[in-house]
Parts: sequence; C-alpha cells; structure tokens
Amino acid sequence: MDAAELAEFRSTLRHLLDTAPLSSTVAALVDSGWTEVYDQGPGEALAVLFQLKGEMLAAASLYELVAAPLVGRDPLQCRIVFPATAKAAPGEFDGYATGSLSGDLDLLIIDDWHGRGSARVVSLAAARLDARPVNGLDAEAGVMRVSGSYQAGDGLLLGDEAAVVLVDVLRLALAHELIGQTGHMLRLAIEHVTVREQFGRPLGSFQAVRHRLADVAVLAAGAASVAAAITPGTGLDHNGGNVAPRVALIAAAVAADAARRNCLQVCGAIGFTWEFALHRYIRRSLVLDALSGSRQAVAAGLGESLMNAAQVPRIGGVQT
Amino acid sequence: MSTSSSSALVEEFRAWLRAHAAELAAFTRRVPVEIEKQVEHERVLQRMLWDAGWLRRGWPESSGGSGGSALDRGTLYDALWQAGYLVPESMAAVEVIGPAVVTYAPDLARTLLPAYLRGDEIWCQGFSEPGSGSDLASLRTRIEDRGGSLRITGQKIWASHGSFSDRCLLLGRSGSPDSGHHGLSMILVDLDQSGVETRPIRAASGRNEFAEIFFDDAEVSRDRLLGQLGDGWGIAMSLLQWERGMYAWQRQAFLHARLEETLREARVPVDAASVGYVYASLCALRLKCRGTLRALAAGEAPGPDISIDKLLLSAAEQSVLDLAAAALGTDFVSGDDEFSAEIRDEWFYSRATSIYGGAAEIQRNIVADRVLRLPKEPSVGRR
Repeated sequence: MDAAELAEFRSTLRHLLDTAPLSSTVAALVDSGWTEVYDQGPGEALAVLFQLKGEMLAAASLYELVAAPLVGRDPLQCRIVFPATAKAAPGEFDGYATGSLSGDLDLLIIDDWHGRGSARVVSLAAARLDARPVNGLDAEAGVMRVSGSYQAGDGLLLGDEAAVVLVDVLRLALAHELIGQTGHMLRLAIEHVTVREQFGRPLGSFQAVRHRLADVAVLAAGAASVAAAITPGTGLDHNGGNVAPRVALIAAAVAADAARRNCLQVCGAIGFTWEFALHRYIRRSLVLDALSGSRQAVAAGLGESLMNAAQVPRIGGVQT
Repeated sequence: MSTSSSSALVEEFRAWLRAHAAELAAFTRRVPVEIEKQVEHERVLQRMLWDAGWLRRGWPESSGGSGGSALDRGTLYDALWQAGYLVPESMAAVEVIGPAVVTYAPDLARTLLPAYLRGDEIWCQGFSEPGSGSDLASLRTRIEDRGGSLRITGQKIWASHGSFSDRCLLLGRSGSPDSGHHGLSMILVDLDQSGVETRPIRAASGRNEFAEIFFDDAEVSRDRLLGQLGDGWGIAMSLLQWERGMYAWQRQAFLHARLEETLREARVPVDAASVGYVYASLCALRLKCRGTLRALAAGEAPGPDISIDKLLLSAAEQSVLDLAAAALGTDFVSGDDEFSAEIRDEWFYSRATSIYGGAAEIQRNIVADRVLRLPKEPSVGRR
C-alpha cells in the first residue's frame, strides 16, 4: 500500500470500528474487503487494524479475524480462549474470551502461551462450559471468563506448525494493540502538558516532564520496529519464527508499562479523574497484559527457551 | 521477514571463514590487555579481511573498495560476530569517519582513505573540547585562514584511540568566536606533524581509551578540508547519522554475540525473565537501526528519529552488560581470569554509551523537541 491507500484503509477501518455493532464487527470487516487487503500485505494490514483497535479502545474481538483463517477456520464460527492459568489439567481449560459465546461455535483453546505454543479445537456444544462476563478492572473490555472441560475425544489438537502460527499471530496482534494504546496515552499526555501551565510555563517545557515522555516514545518506537518486521503466518521455518512475535509482545508490553507510569505522572491530578480518558487506557492495557499471559511470564518463557538453546537468534538481516 | 542466511553474500563469507578457521582462531575473542596491543592485534584481522576482499565490499572503487551498497558492510559485520569472531574495534571509527570523507572530500577519499580502510592507519575524531561536550557548537579550537594554508590552535579531548592514531578528523572554529554552529569547519590533520601533541587519558576501565590532543599553531594544507570553510556543522551532523546508524548496527551485532556467550558461560543461575527482557531490548535496537541504516544507504536523511536509535543503543548495551556481569557471580569482582577481565572492561565501556556521541539527556531533549514537538525549554544557555 502507498501512503494514500494506507490512509484511506485506516479511515475505512476507523469508521467501521466506530459504527458497527460489536457482535457484527468481524462480519462487517469481511464484507468491506478486509481479506483482499490482508492478502496483499498481511503484516501491514494487521498493524493498521490492531493499532487502531488499541488507539480507539475498540472492544470488538478481532483476534478471530486474523487467527482463524491461518488454521483453516472461519472467523465467524470460532472463538479464541486465551489461557488464564499457566497450565490447565488435561481435558480442562480456564481462560478468557473476548466475544459472545453463542451459536454454532468452535472454541480455539490456547493451552500454552509461554513455550512454543499449543492449541486445540473443541466445539461449543461438546464443552461443559462455565462462562461469566468479567467486570473486574475494565468492564468495557467485553471479556468473558470461561472455564470448563471436554471429553478427551472431543478436543482436536492442532498440529505443531498450526499451533505456532496461531499463537504467533495472536501475540503479534496483541503487540500492535498495545502499541496503539501506548501511542494514544502518549498523545493524551502531550496534549495535557502542552496546554497546562505552572510557574508561568507549559508543563511540557520542564525537562523532567519531557524526558519521561521521550522515554515512552523510545520504547514505543523500538516495539513498533520489531512488530513491523514480522509477517503473520510464516511459521517455524523463518529466522526468529516463534521468537520474534514473543519479542514484539514483550517490547510492546514494556512500552505500555512505561506509558502507564509516565503519562499518568505528568498528567497530574487530571490524569487521576474519571473524566480524563487515561485511566481507560491504563485499564485496557492491563487487560491485554492478562490476555497475553502477563509480560513477566512471557519474558521468562522466552528467556528459558534462549537459555535452553544457548543461542540468540538474529531477527532480520540488514539486507533481507 | 526472511532469513539472513538466504543472502548469497553471507553464505560466501561463511564458507571463507570456515576455510580459514585456523588463521582466524586468534580472533575469536578480544585480548584483554592494553588497548594499544589490542588494536595492533586486531589490525592483522582487518588486513586479512581486506586482502580477501571482504572489507572492500560496500566502499567505492575510488577509495580502494570494490563498490556495492553500504549495507554489504552491515551484513558482513553481523555475520562476523555471529560466526564467533570479533570485528576490529577500530572499524567503529572507520564507519563514522569513512562515509564523511567519501562524501565531502573525494580527493582525500582517493589518496588517503584506502590506507585507513585496510587497517594500515588508525584515525580518530577530534570533536569534544574541555569546555564543549554535549554543547558541541560552543567549541573554540581555532582554524585560522592564512591564505595558502590553515593554522590550528586549541585543545581536543575524549578522542577515542587518539594516543595511537595517525590522523585526526578535527572540527574547529574558522569563523568568529560568536559564530555558533555557522563558523565551524572540518579538517583532517596528521598527528605526527609539528605543533601537535597527544596525551592518553586512562579511562575508568583502566584502559587508555581516549586522548587529549593539543594543537599549537599547527599548519595544515587547505586540501585537507572536508567541504568548504564553514561547512563543518552540516558535515558533523551527517557524520553523526552514520555513527547512529552503522555504529549502532555494529554494536548490536556485538551485543547479540555477547548475550549468547553470557548464556553459554554463565557461572551462576541467570534469571530467565531478565534474559527475555534484555533480548527484547536488543531486538528493538537491531530492528530500529536496521531501518535507519537502510535509509542512510538509500541516501535518505533519517531525521531526528535517529536520537531514538541512540537511546535504544545505550539502554540495550547497558542491559546486556549488566546481565553479563550478573552471570559472572562473584567473579565479576574477584575473578582474575581473562573472561572476567574482558567482561569488566566491556561493562565499564557500556556505562559510557549513554554519554559519548551526545549524552542520553541531549537525545531525550531532541526527541522531546523534534519528535514529540513538546513546548521548548526556556532558551537560557541554549543555542
């Protein structure tokens, strides 16, 4: 896509996320030609969509849209279950879903976030399911806590390659969403410190304030560079495959953490009010941290796999 | 994203490395002795790589190179570290000084640069002064126009490798004392000529990393100028882009190798999450400065965003060396073996990454001003 096409694509998506009812956002995206744009440039399309989702705090579950086709499933007929516990017992699951759980659905249950990734498919009808909407930290996030069990014969374990592709694209989508949120937290803080004056000067003219925001921008740019280098669906045979998406997720989560701390600090008392939007971003980015299995655990999982291999992959060459 | 091993250049280079493993064995790790001896030792490798044609890649034929993209150089540095060898430390300065000479002084690039590129000579940068560090545009070393020649008087400091360099790329003031960044010029000065004296400075690591250089009415021919009198600031800014780009790329290649060795040689258990975070910061550096390098090689100016690369570099370098130090356990303090000594040197050097080439605080100011467009700080004392 050239710059003009990209801008048009963005504004189409923005309008759609703004206006489509939650339950039919994925269908509306499919109707609007998402698949064609995605096929032309999967990395770019995914970046635009999920960064927008983060920036707009869109609650529509779009994870299925990008993940399901990679494992041969229809996005409208499946629901991702992100694990809430490190390792569920065989035949059981306990996790989060981000959309409604009704109709003729298959559950795409992620069993393991922290290693290479494994996942299975269980039809909603075959699962004994307990689902409750989560109010918790962010009632607007549309998250359901889903736990339950299934008969061994009812769970179809995805092949190794398919599981990796699935988990990788989810990590990448979450990374872009966090990057979008971080960018918006930074914009809110910049607007505030540009307008708000103390001691006869804008807050943003004080070096201590400027440096806090610069630190967020640096981490966000680094995370965006990693995420932009990844093409979804490339699987294991590529240099950094399975490692790069975890790196993108960690870098994005670290940037979001810095944004939560630093943007809140420089917004002063206003940032602590219900009216000011910052707390909504703080809440949602912590929800994403939970969906992605907590950055600390993702970092530990990545560190362990590097230590076991005693190798440090070089992601992306300068000419390749 | 595709694999770097798909590149034919890398395959060819790796085959050559395998075929010459015996001669190259002396260069699998740094020799932790005085820096003068280290540089002498590494020059042998530089010359070997030059003679085999590898270090000619990506430099123009008029400077003794074999042409091609500057990205070839980045590919080779990366592959050398990945294969378990070091990249000669003086190649860092080559990548900062070389491109500026090629662009702004084609005659010098033809006559003098080849000896530098192949490792026959060591050059250094003479930018900082006792009174001008982060505030570079305040520098006072005089470049006086005496018609046929130029005369240089003043003092430079923190010149890396300065005490054993053959030449110095000097930024000095040819305009009036209050001419700010408009009155600066850049010139290549021989350090063995009369009117020039160097004195090593022992760094916190214990090594003579840098030097003071004194100029007392030193006469230099006009044909040693880069660009014209008064072009110095613009050239310095272009040169700093290469420092951010290719230097940062070299460092990330080294840091990947250092992290890998840390995982293999850890003497106490290492915290897995710390490894994950450190590696993530290193990947962020690599992929951010890859974009910068590609822009530079395509002749595009990366703009103020390049300060982000510099900050990512100092954060990544310090975090990798902190991890390497932690993985040594008590040996970081009390180990008298070569590996512990090497890590201590590198750990100390990593502290300087947030200081040299524009301190981290200055880089944050630039990001705040020119990337985030925050309200300016009060202008007192700032140019």
